[in-house]
Amino acid sequence: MITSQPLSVLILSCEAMAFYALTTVFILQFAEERRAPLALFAAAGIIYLTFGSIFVRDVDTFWRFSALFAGEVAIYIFAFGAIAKSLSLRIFYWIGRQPRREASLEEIVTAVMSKAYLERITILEKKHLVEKRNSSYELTSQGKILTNRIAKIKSIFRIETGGLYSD
Amino acid sequence: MIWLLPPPLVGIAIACAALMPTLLVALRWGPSRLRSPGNRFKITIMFAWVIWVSAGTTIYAANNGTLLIDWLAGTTAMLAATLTLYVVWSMLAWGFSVSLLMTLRAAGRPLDLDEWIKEYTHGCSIKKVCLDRLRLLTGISIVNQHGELFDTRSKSARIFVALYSVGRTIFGLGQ
Repeated sequence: MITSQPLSVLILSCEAMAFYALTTVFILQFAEERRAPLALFAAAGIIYLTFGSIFVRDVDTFWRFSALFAGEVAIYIFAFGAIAKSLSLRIFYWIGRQPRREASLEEIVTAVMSKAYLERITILEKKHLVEKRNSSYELTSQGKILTNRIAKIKSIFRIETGGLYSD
Repeated sequence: MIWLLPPPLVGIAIACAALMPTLLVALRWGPSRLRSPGNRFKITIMFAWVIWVSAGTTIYAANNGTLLIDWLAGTTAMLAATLTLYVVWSMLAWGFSVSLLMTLRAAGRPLDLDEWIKEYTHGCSIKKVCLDRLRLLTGISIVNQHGELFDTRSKSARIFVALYSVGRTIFGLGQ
């Protein structure tokens, strides 16, 4: 059990974060990439509740610990998202791994961009959101439900763009 | 129930964080009527952080009993809210998968791969999309362009490639 000493709260949040990082690094070595976000959030919730219930004993410490741990986890998940999903970083990394650390636009398009599109579409297929019939793609019923929900959220926030190239 | 309330500085940070989604809606509907999601996001974040920094610093300076840890906790709470909102907002407005799905929904009919990509990019070629991405990288000088060729030979680019590689290994993303 810790006291409400400010430094102890900071140390506790760092310890929880270190434990979280070690646990998720281990889990992510075996988890499928598409399940990684769920694993990251679930681990954060479990470690937060575990550390909170064992070590936190007063309200102020609870709030301080929650805020500090949330910030640390947010940075960690943000870094994961950038490394896993950013297309720009993927292009950059691919160029960096070429023998002379250089590539032409054509090569980048073929090796990274086209592959990225296909990979993303494969993920959508695996999640049963789209299906391929006679070389054409269409939304499944699950995909229709999800896109209707997204459309509603976009309309609440009045986001009228349809991606990077709609304006 | 008052004993359940957070310390004042943490409470202000939570209020500022809660203000962010409200502002995102208000800026579209209100008198300013900002259409661009990017501008709306930037103004929202700036506004919330200005309130937090000014209120947080004032309370911290005025109250000797307030702890530095509360200021730190408030700042990390704000950081968490900003990053979370950035991820959700950019996913809704520009997200790759979300936009692909919404393109298919808007088409209202099955599309083959070429049609789908063309609809998604609103007629832009895949080369143009790639060039846009490369422009981001050349803009921050981690990729250099020499005519048709792009390279990552600078020292900072090499360090960044190494860090990115370590990140991929740590997160189990393979090479």
